[in-house]
Amino acid sequence: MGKNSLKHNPSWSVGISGYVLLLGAVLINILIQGFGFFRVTSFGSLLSSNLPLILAAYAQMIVMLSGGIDISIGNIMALVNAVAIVLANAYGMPIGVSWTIAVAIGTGVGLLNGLIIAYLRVPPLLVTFAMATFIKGVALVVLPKPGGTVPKVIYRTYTGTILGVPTAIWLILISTVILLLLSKFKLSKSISAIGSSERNAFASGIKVEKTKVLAYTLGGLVASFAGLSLTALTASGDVRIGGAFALQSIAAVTIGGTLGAGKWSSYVYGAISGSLFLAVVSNIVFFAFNILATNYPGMQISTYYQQLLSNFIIIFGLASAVLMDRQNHQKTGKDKSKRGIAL
Amino acid sequence: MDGGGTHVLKVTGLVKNFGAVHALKDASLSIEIGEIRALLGANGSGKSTFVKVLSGINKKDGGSIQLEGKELNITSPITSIQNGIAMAYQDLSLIPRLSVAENMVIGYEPIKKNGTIDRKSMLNYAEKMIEELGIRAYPDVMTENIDLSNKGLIEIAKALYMNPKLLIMDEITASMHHDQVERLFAYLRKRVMGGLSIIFVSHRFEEVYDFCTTATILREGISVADLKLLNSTPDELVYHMTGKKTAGIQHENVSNEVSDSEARLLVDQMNVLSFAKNISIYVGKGEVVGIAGLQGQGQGEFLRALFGAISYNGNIVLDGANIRIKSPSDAIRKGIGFISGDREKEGIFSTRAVSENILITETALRKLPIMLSVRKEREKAEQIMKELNVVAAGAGVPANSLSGGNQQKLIVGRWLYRKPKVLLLDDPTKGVDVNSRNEINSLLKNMTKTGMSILYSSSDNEELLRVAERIYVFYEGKIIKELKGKDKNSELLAATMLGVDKEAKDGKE
Amino acid sequence: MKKKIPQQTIILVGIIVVLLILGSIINPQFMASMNVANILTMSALLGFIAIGQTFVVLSGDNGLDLSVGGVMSLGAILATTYMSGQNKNFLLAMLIVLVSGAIFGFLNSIGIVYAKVPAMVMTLAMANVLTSIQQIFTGGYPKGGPSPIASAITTTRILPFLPGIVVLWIVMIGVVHLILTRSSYGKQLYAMGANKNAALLTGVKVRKIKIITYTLCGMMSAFAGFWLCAYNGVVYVNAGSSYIMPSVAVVVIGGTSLAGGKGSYSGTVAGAVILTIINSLLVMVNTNEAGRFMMNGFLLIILLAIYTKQPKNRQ
Repeated sequence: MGKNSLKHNPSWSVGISGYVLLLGAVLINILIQGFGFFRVTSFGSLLSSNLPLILAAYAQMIVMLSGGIDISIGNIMALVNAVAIVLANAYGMPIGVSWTIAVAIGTGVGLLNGLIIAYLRVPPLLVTFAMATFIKGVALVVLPKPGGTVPKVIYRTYTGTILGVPTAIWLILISTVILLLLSKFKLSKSISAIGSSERNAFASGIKVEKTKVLAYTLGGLVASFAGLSLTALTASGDVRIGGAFALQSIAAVTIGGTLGAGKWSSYVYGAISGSLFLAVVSNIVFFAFNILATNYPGMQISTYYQQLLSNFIIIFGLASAVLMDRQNHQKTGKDKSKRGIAL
Repeated sequence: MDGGGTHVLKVTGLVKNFGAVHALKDASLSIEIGEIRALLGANGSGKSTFVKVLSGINKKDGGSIQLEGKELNITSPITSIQNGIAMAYQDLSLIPRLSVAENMVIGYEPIKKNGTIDRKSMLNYAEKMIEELGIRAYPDVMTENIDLSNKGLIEIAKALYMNPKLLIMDEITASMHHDQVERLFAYLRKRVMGGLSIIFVSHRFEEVYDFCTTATILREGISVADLKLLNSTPDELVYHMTGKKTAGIQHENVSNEVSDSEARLLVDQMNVLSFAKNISIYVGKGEVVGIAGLQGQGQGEFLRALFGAISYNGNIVLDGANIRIKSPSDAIRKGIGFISGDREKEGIFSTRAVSENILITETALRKLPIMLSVRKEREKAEQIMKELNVVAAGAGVPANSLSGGNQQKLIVGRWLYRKPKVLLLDDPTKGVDVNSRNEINSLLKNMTKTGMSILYSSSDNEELLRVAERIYVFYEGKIIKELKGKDKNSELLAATMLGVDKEAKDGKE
Repeated sequence: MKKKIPQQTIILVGIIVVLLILGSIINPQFMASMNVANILTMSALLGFIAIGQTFVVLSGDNGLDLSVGGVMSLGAILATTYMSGQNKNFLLAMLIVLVSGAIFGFLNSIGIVYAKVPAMVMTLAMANVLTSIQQIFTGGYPKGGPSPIASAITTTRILPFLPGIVVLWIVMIGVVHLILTRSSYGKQLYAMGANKNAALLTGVKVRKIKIITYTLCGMMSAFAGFWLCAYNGVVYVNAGSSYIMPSVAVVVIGGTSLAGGKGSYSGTVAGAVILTIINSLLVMVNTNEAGRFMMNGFLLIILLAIYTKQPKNRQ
């Protein structure tokens, strides 16, 4: 009689919804854009403009793995952006120093979130929602009007290439490796545990509150780096850009497939595939409308339709991710609750 | 063990209350190094609470716990684990999302000098335990995919990871097959010789006699006996657990039998997922049929399946018609009602008014949107409250201002109003005071006079014997006996429930 | 059955009184009819949108509707477009607005009930879609304007401090109260929120009630948008986005539990007035937008910390 039939479960197979969707999206993109898709400049710019989202998704992933959610991620990015620009431009601090301070502040926000959630036991959704508003105000105080500059070398490098490969790819690689490395540390197991079953984590002797605080702090730290990449990308400061990232990061993580069980690494792959899915979708829509516009000059389609279509595709992605993960669970019999009320 | 050995654990006068419920009133237990002590008790005896206080899940309200002579103030599982008390939980404390190996070391992972988890050390331990305990799973498989019996073994491996002084096993063998249990015991005996002490909570007498040397028996929150198993018969154990002597079966009144043709409810070969198999029962018109058994033997799931809350396969015939029950709404419309003993989770709307609690089923059946007359609702509710003798400041007060017994009466009142053909009860008087209990039971009896049939599951044998005309006994998902006529007596019931009677029969063959 | 005024509401009314006194001290004009009328109007707008949110939160199961801002904005845009400043279009525009709100609320409910997407995620996604729809519909430049009747209702003062719209609100408060306390829908809603399992086991049609609730929420949000248009005269895309968080906040402050099943609309009403007064005070003290954001966020956190303690999730 052999061992348990489910043997070696490759870690990346959970979150399969993300890959399926991503693959489909990439194929459609290639169809529409042609092989120009692969040209370094366009591929590179796709990645460099979406690195902030990828990092935001990583931050959200950590928080969601702990069983919570962070709506303030976009605003942390905006705050970091504002602080980095202001310290460098208005106070003339060297880039290294100002950016480090910005990261420290962003991380501090995460810490605050974590403390309130863990010790005051307020639901994460509301706390981070309220914190988002608070931070939005702070960011506006720091940088009331868009402006400021970033040294050209940073902007050029960020959107350019290093050793022939787009810088964005290097950065994505480095950040992904770092996140994967996290799984080698006890903290990642504790975070996974409290998100998977807080009751059992408590019974197993895990320090639940401390772990929650660390999860949100870590999320704040990663979100801060997302804010820095946003700064490098836009080469200036504007606190209003942070807005959409909260939803986008949640969508990216969900599409990548968090609802299921899985190893830390599968969540990392899921987060990045979800982000790339969203990125490719906007790309598709952009090029699709381009084609329509060039071939049918009579049709005047506004960019608004693009966004609408993108949004519909996102909802479709979310729904199918949720459904696919639910099917996954029912097959493995996870859904059998003891007193399962069948409705 | 003869006296003079050093106590590794000494618990004195443990007290634990959950609100008005006194789960533990005066529980004491002392064990020595290398002792395997069984902890026995019937439903509601407090044995689960006792071990959960030791493991740190619940905080004691009184009494003392000493480990190797040192007084312990256990505030959380961290305290217990760090002091050398480990528990394998009945509901399992495994993290579904993590792998088998990761679960075994969770919370106390081996760390390398560079701060990362020492995977090699972790895998070594996992592979060793997989080998020793015969766990059928690879170390890197996600735990949620593994079957229950192997999960139990992993739970034990996890408990043993920190080399505890005391291992508590709370009904952990319940889901295991015989050979797994044998192998487990063999391994644990080795550990015991190395100085491990064990508290073994189980209702399987066979295992208790096989594995343990001594036994402590809890009854209604009080430790009533400490026995050496060599010198005690199962009947003696049952006696301490229930206060009833098994020897000498008395003759009870013969009740009228109801033939199948008069059956109101007929269940044929019903399976409820993995919880119950091949259940066949019948209930006559106006009859009260009891269901007995230890907690979690499938009776709860069976009743919920009959009410449409859990999926099932099998046949149900109600008043001669073959029916399929798809949901609770469906069941209610077809004339079936359900009362759960877990009123907090499944019965009462504590923040809502008394009248709403009583009338909710009616309200839900109405076609929307309907404006209800405040006065009429209040009158209806007050009438029922009077019939039930509910003690409350009025029909408008929130349900949580009533005592437990009165709250349960509200739930009964709900169905009194509705008048179903069959009323399913899952331990309806659990945690209810004696007077309310009696009132509820006589009320239910009255309801049968109009022809309503009742299927009554209870963890209180006395109650069952009083109210039910026949009793089906559930054991490990099946009905092992139907007690009627002469057989319907407390001694045989107690024994059957504990599987003793069955085992005795098996033993003879 | 004597109606007991919840203790929480009394506290809230007390807070309102304190704030009003504070306001008068800072600026003697604070209690002038004009100012009070303004405050009540702004409260009414917030109050309308919080009706739906109250229902959704009461339904339990982590119910929340973050698309209320989007639906409100769309409602405002549809209102301004279809009224086009003409009285004869008044009723038609109202009908269109209500139907549009109901449609989006209904779509939300489908995702939540059948695809089992968490309410927060579903409504957040819907909010995004609504932004795009608004942009497409208007091409970025909303045209038209409210009918004179609409403006009249909004601004005409029945009493020096009581504009028509506030009277409308008072009527709505009565209607909502009736629905919540006396209809079979309301009873089932509270039951569901108080104890979902028990509700299922007593035949409450949980799914149906949820669908109705989110649909109603959409409708009320659009309704709020209609009056936003009437009050402001000028409408722009996502005009309602600043109402989302406050709509949740006033529900929570008003004593409705986020877990569901407990609370009332009267509490929400008090919460709406409080929040509006605070905002008004901040404007008076010349705080800029940034300061107001900070204050709002900070206060909300404090209120949440007081009102929404979750029990420790232990065995």
